[in-house]
Amino acid sequence: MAALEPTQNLVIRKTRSRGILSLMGSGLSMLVALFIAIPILVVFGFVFVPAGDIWAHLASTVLPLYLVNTLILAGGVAVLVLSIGVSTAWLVTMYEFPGRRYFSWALFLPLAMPAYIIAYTYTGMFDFAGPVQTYLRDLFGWSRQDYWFPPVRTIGGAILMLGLVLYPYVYLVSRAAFLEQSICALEVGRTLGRNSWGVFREIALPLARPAIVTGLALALMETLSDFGTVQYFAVDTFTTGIYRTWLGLGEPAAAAQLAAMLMGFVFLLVILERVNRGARKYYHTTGRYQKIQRAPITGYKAALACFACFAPIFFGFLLPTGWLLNESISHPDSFLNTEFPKLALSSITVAASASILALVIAMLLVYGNRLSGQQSNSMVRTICLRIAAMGYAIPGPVLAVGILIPFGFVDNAVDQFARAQLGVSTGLILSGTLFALMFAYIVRFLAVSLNTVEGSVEKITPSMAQAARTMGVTGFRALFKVHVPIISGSLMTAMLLVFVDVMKELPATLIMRPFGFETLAVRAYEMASDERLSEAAGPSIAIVLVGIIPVIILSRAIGRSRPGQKSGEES
Amino acid sequence: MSKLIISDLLHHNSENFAVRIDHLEADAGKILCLLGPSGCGKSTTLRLAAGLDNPEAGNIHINGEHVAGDGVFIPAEDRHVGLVFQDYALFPHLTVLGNIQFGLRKMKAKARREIAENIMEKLDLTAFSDKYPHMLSGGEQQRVALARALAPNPRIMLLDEPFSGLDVVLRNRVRDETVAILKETGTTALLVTHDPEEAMRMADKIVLMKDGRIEQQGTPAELYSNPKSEFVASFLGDVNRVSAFATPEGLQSEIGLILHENAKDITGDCEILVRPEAIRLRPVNNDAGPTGRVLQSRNLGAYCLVDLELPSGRTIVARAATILQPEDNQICAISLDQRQVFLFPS
Repeated sequence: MAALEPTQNLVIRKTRSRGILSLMGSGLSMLVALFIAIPILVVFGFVFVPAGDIWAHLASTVLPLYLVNTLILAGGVAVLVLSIGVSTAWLVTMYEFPGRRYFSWALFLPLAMPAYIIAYTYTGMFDFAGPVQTYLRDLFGWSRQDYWFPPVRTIGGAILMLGLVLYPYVYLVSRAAFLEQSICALEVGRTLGRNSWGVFREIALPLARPAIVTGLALALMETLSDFGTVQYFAVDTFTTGIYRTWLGLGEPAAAAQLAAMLMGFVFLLVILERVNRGARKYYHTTGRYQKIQRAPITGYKAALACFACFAPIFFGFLLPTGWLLNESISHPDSFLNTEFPKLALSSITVAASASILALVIAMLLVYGNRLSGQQSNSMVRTICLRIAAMGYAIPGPVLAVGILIPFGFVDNAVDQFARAQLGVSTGLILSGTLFALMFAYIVRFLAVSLNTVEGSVEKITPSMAQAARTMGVTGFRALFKVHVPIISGSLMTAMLLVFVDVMKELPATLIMRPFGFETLAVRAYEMASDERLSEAAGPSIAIVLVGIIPVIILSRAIGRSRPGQKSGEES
Repeated sequence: MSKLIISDLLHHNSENFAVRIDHLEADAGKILCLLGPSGCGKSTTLRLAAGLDNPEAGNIHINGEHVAGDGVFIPAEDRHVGLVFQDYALFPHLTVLGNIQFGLRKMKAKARREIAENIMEKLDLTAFSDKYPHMLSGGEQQRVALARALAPNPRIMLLDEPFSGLDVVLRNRVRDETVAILKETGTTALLVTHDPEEAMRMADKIVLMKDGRIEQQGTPAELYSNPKSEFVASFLGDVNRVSAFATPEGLQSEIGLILHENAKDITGDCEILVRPEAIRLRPVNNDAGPTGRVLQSRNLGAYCLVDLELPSGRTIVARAATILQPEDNQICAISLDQRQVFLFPS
């Protein structure tokens, strides 16, 4: 009996320390989730705060316009991204034609182009004073009234701009879905009397639908949260409305209510798809994968396929990037000035800090969840994780509203308390600081690192950890010997993705930045707003070039994703 | 009448492996099994018959219609063949009814419904009509796949390893059910399998393939008892290899005198193949016949497998009725069923 005691003690101690760890873990993740949920809760909380006359005023004046414009914009972008994204994904997955290999990754490139930057470029190129119209006038001797040219800065232009840079979301997921599909199902469809179009329409498309809807939802979230493009094109949507109600009219409650309506749209999108899906499950009923045999196409059909794949790459990336490069080279002062290094440095600093912070928080959440997988409160933690990942769906301006309202409240309360008790004014402690900005980035982009970390940690099965355990490798040593080598690649990816997202982020930065603090994105926006387009080129091209990094990572990852297909075979 | 005729076929599959078939015929209402080890070209042949691939050379006729070869190619969608894959490839977004009706396009809704209900009743699927594939068990999914392929009344049914996804107990039942429904509907079927037991159980005729060519074709009994090559003999069942040498009386081996029709052509040494059930064991009498020592014997229920050591040290396996199971280390006298001894010219 006595001999047994130490072991028993050890067991008890172990369980207890595990219990404490998991309790700490769950407490921490709940705290983080709560913190991140603050902006969302604030925005929805304001639905119940009477905003008074201003709401009636908004409803009778601008609200219908916001609503109609937002709906037209979302509808137009949806049609555009679906037709470009799905058709190109199907072409490069199922057919063989000249350049297919290059198209399959180059189609991601427009993802590197922020919508507001492509908007400035197209304005620069196709506006009245731009090279295209000038050339046409010179060529035909026209003057202003003699001809009609499609105006760029309209809602139609905004749809085109957003569609050109957002279709990769749909392309990405539909390509992954088409790569994963069971070729057998398509072949059975053939023997049941469907030609290749029928197989696509009646089998492949319905099977890929959940994935396509996910991609569409992402594209639409980006559309709804877009601020730079619609503001620049003077198209009044909810996003610009929120900005104006908040900063122009000084009505935070009304702004928050507009924001709540906008978020309602987003959630409606998600719910509609779920309801529509019903009892159907889209798992393939098979574990067997056959190599996809791409059917070769030749002649005019091959030319058409090439054109269909090249056009979005050209108009969404090559043309605007070329123009930006050309502008920055012919106006070297747009980046060869004393301010540019400062701008780049502040962009890189906030982006790097935010990406590291997001990674650390994501790892804490994921490992907290993993440590207590079997605990009774795992439901709570799963919900916490989901809440923490919700920020990605919140448009930047809404986020700004949701953060600045509670921060302002805290600032005021502290200030009043200090003045009453100590006779000094503390001023703004939280609002308008880098801390607030960083908080906004974390809320918005935590989902990106969270999903990446979660995905890679899932690859470490419990049996691996148990195998390490039988060899006496536990605790922190297991973390460094087993976990880190397996997930380090994904951790880098998670960091890079957040880094680039922060570099590109405009609306939240614009609203929340400390006074005098400028990033590349803010500078590009300001120069463009002042019609100094050539000066916007320098910062813009820097953002685009950085944005290419995750595109490369994504295209590599997806090439490896098809089960049963070696990485070398498909890229 | 022949439903499917493949002649002078040559085709390279995606791994650039050549399939050459001189002549293959499937008779109406019969089940033809394409049997062979993996990578022998049987699935490629099935895909060519289905119209999923276009052969480089050769002709394919279905029901007398020229469907491939000499510039003609009727693609899968116009060929009116049924196809069942190993993984069934059911459409997960459609119900059982939707799956079965998928191939019934060019007809009125009422007629479609009638045909689908009829086939569902035959295959005992009526209760699952509104269920989605993921709600069904493996055996049920297999029946849906079969029903879906049968519904449009195909000219020929092509089955690619359709039972390998099922567990052993279920597999035998589903095999028998499938044979029954194919016979009941009078459907001609081409079944691809790598399992000789499955082929012998189901087929009216077996076509054994190796390295892209037909090795031998015939009824299951013909292939089992009268193999034309060593490969056929050993693929369809276990065989023992025993060395023998020519004498004026016949081939002399450790297990006795072999009176094979090919024996007269042999001079010098050779190797013979003997099925385990051809080796009969009995207690040693005084006569000087061949003997072997029992190393161990395993009881498999209806029969037992006996490992025997011959005087030369070579071991062979014999199959005996359980009641005749010998004891370990017992010396047994050996006699041969000469019909199950194979000798191939080397």
